[in-house]
Amino acid sequence: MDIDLLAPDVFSGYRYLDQLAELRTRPGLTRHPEPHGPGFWVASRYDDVLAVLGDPATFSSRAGIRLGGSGEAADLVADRMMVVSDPPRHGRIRRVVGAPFTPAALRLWHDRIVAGVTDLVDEVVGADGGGPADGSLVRDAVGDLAERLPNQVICAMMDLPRADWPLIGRLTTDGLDSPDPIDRLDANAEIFGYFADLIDRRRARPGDDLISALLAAGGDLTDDELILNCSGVLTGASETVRYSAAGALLVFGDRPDLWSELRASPELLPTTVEEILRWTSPGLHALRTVTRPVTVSGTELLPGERVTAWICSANRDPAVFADPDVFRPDRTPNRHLAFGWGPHVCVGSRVARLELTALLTALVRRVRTIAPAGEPVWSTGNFIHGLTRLPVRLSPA
Amino acid sequence: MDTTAVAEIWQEVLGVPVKDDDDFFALGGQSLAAMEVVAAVRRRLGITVRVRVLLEHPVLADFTERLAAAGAAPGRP
Repeated sequence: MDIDLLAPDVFSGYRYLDQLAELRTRPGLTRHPEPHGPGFWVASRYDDVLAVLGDPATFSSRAGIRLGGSGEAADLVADRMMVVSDPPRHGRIRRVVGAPFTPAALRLWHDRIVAGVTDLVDEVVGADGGGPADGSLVRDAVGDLAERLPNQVICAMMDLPRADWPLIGRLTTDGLDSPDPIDRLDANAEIFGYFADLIDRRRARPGDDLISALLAAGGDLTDDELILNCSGVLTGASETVRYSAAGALLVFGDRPDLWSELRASPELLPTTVEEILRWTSPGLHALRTVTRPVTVSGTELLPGERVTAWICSANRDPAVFADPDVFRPDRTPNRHLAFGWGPHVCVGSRVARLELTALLTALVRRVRTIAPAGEPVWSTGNFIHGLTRLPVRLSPA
Repeated sequence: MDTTAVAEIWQEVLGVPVKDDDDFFALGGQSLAAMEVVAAVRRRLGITVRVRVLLEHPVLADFTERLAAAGAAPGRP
């Protein structure tokens, strides 16, 4: 099998998983060529992914964390942005960025998040779209629901004016996904300016919102660093959960039996959410740069070499997950790595789980059946990945 | 449009003194700095300009002229 983890068409669908399955059978790490670079190593097995992500002293984040990112861009934010930093600096940033996401802080938010998600589902399912006579509704599970879910939660947590929510959603997606790097820069410049204003306002008049909590925890972060990390939180929140939510609707559309089962047995919800996270794994890979000679799975790595840890592949590793390519709502244990591993493990994982739980709870109540209503469309990136369009027919309960 | 206000923004972002015929990149400007300049121009001068404009017109006087045009355009804040 030809392996190309840089080819966009490999990622429009599930073919990347076939390639990674093949790589898992090869000994050691696999060397992957690059058209305009020295190439990189691929870690595809669960244990190898753990070895890379769990050892930040050997595998640094400071030179960038994704394939296709520019080393220059990473340099500019190294040790300033949480995701592009190493210990001990990473820990100091994380204490600030993580302040709004502790269990105690989130208790404050729990009811508001659930109410917001429930309202969203009510709106999507309840709105009269002039649908067919049988009462079913055709919706784009991504545009109408999945991408609005995290956008609405994070904007509410930041207490942004409701009129700004669509703009923030668009800018966040453009800032990460626009094919033209200058368009990405423009979107990020706009986000940067937006947060600069917001931070000034919240400093003058603190509230019980996420930005105020971050400022209160401020530590030794400069204003620029606060802004960069606010923008990082926005990206991490918005560009991930949407793909897990959309992937869940695809699963239930293809497997009506699973949807009926979940509606009949809501106690399956917690394990179902974990299985959705394992199954969709929107963060496909994380890149690290080797700082000292090290051997992983028998492969010797040299300082300066880059290693990609394929989280989505670890989550399909048959050595850890029985029948990894089967969606099992009751899978236990389910030690998936969808949130990463090690010091950089997702700071917002609790919110993500809460959003998905609230979404399914509301859908179970409102929607009797979910059926495919057109061809799904996939994003083609190899970093954060999932459905960008998913027409579904929903029959209200 | 006077270059003074724009020069102040460049100086703050780049950390060096700036003259009218200085080039943004020659002064050490890069993508993040360009982003910061554009954000500051929007906030302080009320002019919305794309990063592309700075990248394509990296000389202070030239960039300022572009801003003046953008700022005077109808419908802009």
